[in-house]
Amino acid sequence: MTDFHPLRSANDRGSKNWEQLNKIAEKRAKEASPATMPSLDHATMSDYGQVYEPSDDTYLLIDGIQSDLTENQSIAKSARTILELGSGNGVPITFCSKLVPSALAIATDINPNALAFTKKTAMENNVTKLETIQCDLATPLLESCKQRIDIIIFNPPYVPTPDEEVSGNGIEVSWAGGERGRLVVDRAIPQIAHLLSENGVCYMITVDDNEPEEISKMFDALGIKMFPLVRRRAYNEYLSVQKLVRKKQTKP
Amino acid sequence: MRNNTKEADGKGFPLRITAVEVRVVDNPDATNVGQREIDFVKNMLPVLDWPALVQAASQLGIPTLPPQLTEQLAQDPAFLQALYHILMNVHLVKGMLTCPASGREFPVTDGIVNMMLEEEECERVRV
Repeated sequence: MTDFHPLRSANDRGSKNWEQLNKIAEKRAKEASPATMPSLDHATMSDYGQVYEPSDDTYLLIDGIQSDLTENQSIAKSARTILELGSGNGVPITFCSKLVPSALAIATDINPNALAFTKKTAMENNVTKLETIQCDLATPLLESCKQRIDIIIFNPPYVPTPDEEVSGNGIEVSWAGGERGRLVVDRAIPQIAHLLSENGVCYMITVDDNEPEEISKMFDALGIKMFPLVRRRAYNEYLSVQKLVRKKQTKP
Repeated sequence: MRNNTKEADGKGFPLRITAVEVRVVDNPDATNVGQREIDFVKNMLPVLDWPALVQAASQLGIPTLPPQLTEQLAQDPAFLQALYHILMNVHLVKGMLTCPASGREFPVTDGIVNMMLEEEECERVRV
């Protein structure tokens, strides 16, 4: 696990330009007003043996969503659909649904306990427009929801682990990310690019070990711009929320 | 949702619903459906696959949706209220979704549909 994992040294971080973007994201995170956590009064201790307990990454993600949707009211007003890949405890999608009450929310997870918990979290917070699908990423939605999802939320299993830990459907798949923490992230990249609507936005958690600048290049090749939105240090890792938007076609 | 494995050959939609248990959230006062809900339905209309919805509703025991969605209906508040009810308050709690092309079944338990694929199916997913 990450506990004794050293922070990355300065020389294996991203390019100068990327570092600059990271600095802006750190500043934005400091200035952002902290988001209010949805109620989790329904949760019991035994739930957290099966479902990921909200942690620093969850908090940063909802801070980022709040800050961005406050700044970009047009997204919050026009969004029809919210999709969270791997909804886990359901906090991010519930939080986002509260900010975008007109949208239909779809949560997926491969862990059925996580989906049951997501439903309870939504209900507890009076979020009623939620559908849950037990599946890998968004595989069953790819055909029917092509470029139709306005807000995608993704807090992937990003912790670098041996590849073989990334299997099953229990609690370990909520964090085990394989080599560089990229096993699941890399599979999600084409799906996100496929589903994101014209003016859609995706919020995705990364740690520096994932080499986010490389991820941004992979998205770039699929017509999507990715940059750090908010960024904060949590113990021995730097967490970022990456914001993704479709690149606008330059008119000829 | 649809079955997009190769077996379905692009015809894995709409999934046929076999309902064992359907829960309808009671809305004793239909006028409760407010402007926000009506706006939501209006917002969703362009992305609804109407024939698929009509089929799904009838398989859930609601045979009353008109076969065609007319412009006039799309503006009728009473119709939009009723549609909101069908879309958001009727839940399939237990049952089965069946792919019309391949017969592959996806069980629904406690309102959660299981669309996990076997490894060999994953390799044949079409996008």
